Amino acid sequence: MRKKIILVLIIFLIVHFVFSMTLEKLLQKNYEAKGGLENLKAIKTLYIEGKMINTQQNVEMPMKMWFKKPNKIRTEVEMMGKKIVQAYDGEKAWWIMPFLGPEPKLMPEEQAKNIKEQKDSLSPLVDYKKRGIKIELLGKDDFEGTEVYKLKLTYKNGKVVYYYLDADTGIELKAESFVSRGGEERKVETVFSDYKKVNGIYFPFTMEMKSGDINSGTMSFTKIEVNKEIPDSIFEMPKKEK
Amino acid sequence: MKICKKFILYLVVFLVVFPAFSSKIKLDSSAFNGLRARSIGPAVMGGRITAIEGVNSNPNIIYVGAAGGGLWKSINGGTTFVPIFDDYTMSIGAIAIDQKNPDTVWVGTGETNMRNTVSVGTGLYKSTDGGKHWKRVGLENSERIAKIAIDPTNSKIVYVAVPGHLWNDSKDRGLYKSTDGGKTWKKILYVDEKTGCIDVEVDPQRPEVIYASMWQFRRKPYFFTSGGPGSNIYRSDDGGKTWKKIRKGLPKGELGRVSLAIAPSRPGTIYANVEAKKKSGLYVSYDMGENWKFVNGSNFVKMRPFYFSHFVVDPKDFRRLYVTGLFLSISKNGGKSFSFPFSMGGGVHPDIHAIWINPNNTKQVFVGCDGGVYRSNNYGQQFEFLANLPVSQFYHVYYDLETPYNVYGGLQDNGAWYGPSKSFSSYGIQNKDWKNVGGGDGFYVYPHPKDKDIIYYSWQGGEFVRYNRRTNESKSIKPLPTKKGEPEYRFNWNAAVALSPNDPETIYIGAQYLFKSTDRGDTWVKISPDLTTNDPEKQQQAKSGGLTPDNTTAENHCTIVSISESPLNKNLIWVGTDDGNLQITKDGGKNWENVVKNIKNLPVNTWCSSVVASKFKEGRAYATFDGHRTGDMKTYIFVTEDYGKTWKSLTTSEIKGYAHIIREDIKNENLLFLGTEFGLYVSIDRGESWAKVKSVHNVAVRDIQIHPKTNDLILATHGRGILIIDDITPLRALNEDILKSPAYMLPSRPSVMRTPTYFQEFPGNGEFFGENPPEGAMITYYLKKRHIFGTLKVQVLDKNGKIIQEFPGGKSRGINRIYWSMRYKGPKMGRSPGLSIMINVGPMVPEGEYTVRLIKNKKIYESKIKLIPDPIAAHSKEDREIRYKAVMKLYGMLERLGYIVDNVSSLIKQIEKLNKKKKYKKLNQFKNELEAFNKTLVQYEGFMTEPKLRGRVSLLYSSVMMYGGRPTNSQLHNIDVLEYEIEKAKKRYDYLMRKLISVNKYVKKKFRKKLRILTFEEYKKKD
Repeated sequence: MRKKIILVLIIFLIVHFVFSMTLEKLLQKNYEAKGGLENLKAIKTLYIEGKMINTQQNVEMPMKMWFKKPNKIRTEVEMMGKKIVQAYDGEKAWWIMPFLGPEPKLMPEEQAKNIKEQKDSLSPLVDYKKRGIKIELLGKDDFEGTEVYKLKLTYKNGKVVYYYLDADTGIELKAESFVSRGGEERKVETVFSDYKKVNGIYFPFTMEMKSGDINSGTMSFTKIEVNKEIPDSIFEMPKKEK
Repeated sequence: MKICKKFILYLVVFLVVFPAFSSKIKLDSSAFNGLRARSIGPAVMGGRITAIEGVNSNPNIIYVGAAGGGLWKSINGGTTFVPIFDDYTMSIGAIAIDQKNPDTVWVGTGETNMRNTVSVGTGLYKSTDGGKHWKRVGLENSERIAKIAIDPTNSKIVYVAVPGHLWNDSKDRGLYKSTDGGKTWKKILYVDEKTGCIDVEVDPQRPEVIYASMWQFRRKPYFFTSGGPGSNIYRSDDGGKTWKKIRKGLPKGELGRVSLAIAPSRPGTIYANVEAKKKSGLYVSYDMGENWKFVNGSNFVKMRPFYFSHFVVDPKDFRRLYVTGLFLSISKNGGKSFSFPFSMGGGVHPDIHAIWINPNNTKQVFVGCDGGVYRSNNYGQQFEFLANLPVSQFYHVYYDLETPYNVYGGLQDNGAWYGPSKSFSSYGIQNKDWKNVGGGDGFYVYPHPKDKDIIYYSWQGGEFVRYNRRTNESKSIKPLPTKKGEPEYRFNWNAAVALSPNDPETIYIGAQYLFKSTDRGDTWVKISPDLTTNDPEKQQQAKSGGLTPDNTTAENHCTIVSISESPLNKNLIWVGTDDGNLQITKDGGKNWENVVKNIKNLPVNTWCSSVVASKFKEGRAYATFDGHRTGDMKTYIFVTEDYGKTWKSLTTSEIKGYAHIIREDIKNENLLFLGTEFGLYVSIDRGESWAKVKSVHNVAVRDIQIHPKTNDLILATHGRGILIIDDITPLRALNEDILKSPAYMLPSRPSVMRTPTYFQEFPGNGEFFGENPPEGAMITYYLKKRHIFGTLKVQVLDKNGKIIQEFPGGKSRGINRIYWSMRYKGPKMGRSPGLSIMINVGPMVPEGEYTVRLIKNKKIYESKIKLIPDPIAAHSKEDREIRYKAVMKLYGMLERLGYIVDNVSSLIKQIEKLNKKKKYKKLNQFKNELEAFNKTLVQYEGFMTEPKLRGRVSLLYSSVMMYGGRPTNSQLHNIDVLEYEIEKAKKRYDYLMRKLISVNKYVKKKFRKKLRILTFEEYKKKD
């Protein structure tokens, strides 16, 4: 009888070990779900078209984004017939705010920090070692009734972002961080969905932004292009007015 | 044998691999993801505040704890607050900041102002990142925590004062110490199961010197005792290893509650606010508690120690004291004399519980009281109210049938109020929108069902008032004994008051007897004998209080606390009492039967917190019972189908917290709502299973109403004001079949098309704004699983099947709800240089039925939604149509004009690029012509100069759109004028486009290029 119990216990432990999740296993699962590590690593540039949607106010703002590894980003959002450009070329964060004037200007510190962080949001789970990001697996959690794994990412600059990975498929469902904005500190969540395949890689075509339970805008993409040729010049601050 | 082993192996694998699942699909919390409760506040009156702490090195960071409204953080000195503890417990007892590492914050849950209505805590929590994340670090069974003291020289050493359970014996009381930052705890001072630790002080210079105050106390449903042989104050000189009593100079005999405070600027000086049989008051010791000296016995200093007692010493001035109490008492001379800055007015709410002095600027003092948080910048002489914390504590809620409807309710120590469920301000429902009708502790507030002038409201101990909102007159209509020798009427603190669902002129109030009035309270008829146990032992409230007598009706017992007349039969009335009786009459009060004996598994004498007669079946009733006042924290819910002969328990393991209220839906008999001390629960199978609504968090839900016109669920919470879940129509439709389907379109109420209103308002950030319901048509659907891969989108189609809107949609598991603006897209106005008037609001679509389509990968789910005209504005159909046509015409004009502007502006840009040095004259000339023309259409420079043609059309478009009815004749004729001008502009444009052909020949020759323009179709398609 005692032997039997021990046997059952050993089997239980083995099974438990085999099925218990480690960070490496989970990341492996995540890479597989998104199209394989090789494909993910092969991403050098991304070009994205879509719109920013505020459903309730019935406002849609066309947007474009360019990413170039390791650290270049440019975004364009069109608002009431005016194009807002924000970019970071690896050194300078700059923008064109037509409501302030047509000339490109260096960004104020807070906004500069935001765009640099946006640049960091590109595939941190793939490049984390290279980029010096620390990842901890905090265990299982619940995201609106869906079982998830919670990861804590600590960037080199101390910024902490939590990722929630679908327990079933390993794919990212949500990123969560705290943002100081204008004297208040609030939890900001980005929820990923509508994953579709482009060049063998799954990308979320919808990203819903939430702040304190309330939807603060949704990005809906119509086109994602991988490894399109993007010249460095578009990330650099133009010398003169265009 | 082997087979057996294998089988076990298989079983183990099976169990590990496949988590348990049951065949029946049950509703779970995730079903409500999209049905979010919105908070309408108010914060015009606060709720009880229990703790305030700030960061010494950055006093803009302030934490505030509420009695039932959770923990809040401000990083701007109190201008705005954000709730940071909503996933945990709403009742906060103590906050401590590790001032050496100010991101480390400790929170003890469970209030220790030991009044009759306190909630319960769930232990001690710690955050190491300024409140973003929390971890429970022990003392789970403490129920309430009074103080957390951190060793100023070693952050790992923490002392926690646990007074412990209020209503029953407990071994979890005493002073606890951790030397490893909260990983392990040791009880270092304990007296007995009746005596807890109410205060602890650590000497800031010699941190091994600890002072502790032990307090013997006990509350029963009908009695409170403060004091006993267990109460004493102690000092340890070795970090809590050994203790000695320090009583020399204090009153002999039993003590009650004693609060302690070391003077931080002179740690040998310690003050004590002492409750004793004789000579209660403020004492001081200048030798670390060895000898005490009586300093002040003022009433305001020693008043109601179970509720106040706490005081603080100015961090810089050892003689300046601030003592909590009915009023704030301030001394500048070590307690010899006190001033009471707002005892005679001053507009600060009484009943002060928490004080925080900014140590860098000791003139700045924050106080927390039954009415919220106040801030002073001059040592507490004048105060400003921080109207930004929606932590009000409602007992009951009701509604009227206005559009938008108002909610009515009474609050702990904050009177009786009503306010709108929705405001026309873009900021939302504001504090100024709320109206007070009466004071005291407010309970039931009912608008008369027919007479809009009349509001009934009750305050503590059965005080009942008829208020006329037109004349502002109040009349006390409490029933009084009318016959000589008749026993006194006994009313509960929260005496039951009810409206008849059958007759608008019938009202009830319960003492030990049930009273009924049909003339608005001028005459009361006693329609029952004493319905309680009438136990004399439970009617000793005059002696309640212990060492300090306290009889405020809070301990009144053997009284009626719930009444329900059957909506199906006005002679069938249910009554529940605080001493555990449940009585029914079927003949309007002639005969009564106590049916509580038929309920199995309910401890005798358990408080009947609610009874509700069903509106679907006469013999059916629901009842909840609440035993927490004797330490029984279980949930008790029962239903009868046979007038109380037999009862069935509806309690399931999903429910947490003792039950306050059950409410039956008004349309679907299977839909039930339950309010407990820890939140809201919903059942769609008449109580077989329950699911928690997460967006209500763990706040106590004291009352629930369903609005008959809007189908909103209205919650009275005891800590977060009024919460509303808009339109529960989709919940009525839910059933097991729907829960099983991968996706399902759920019905919603018709959506009202309201013309938005605008007000000139600049309220700043310092006020709370209640959330309005979203302006838009609700689209509600169910998803069995979260949508992750492939497309999920929602489309709205008009009668002709044309798609007029497309959204990404919600992807959550359970119910998703999105709002459609009921508008077409904004007009395409064209790009142009300069800052000009731009409109991005589209016209409202016509009223009527629309198809909503959920597309989930290849599957399509469809349903209809209905848009209806605004019933308040009530414009005729004809007028609405004239307006619609006018708006659409202007919309078309704007787009035509926008097309011209866009092409002209684009041509100018193209020429500028080609002709950077301006050396091609032909291009210069054409550009000048284009620019001159463009300047007649759009603004080029300057601010608020006279609007050009596009600006004029925009202004007319928006002003016609801003009114829901017929435009003025001026407006209608002005459309024609502007149309004529657009025609003129079009002619000029056509001329320029003809010219473009020749210019382009030139361009082709010079640059091998072409200046391009868009067709109107291309323009419309362009982003």
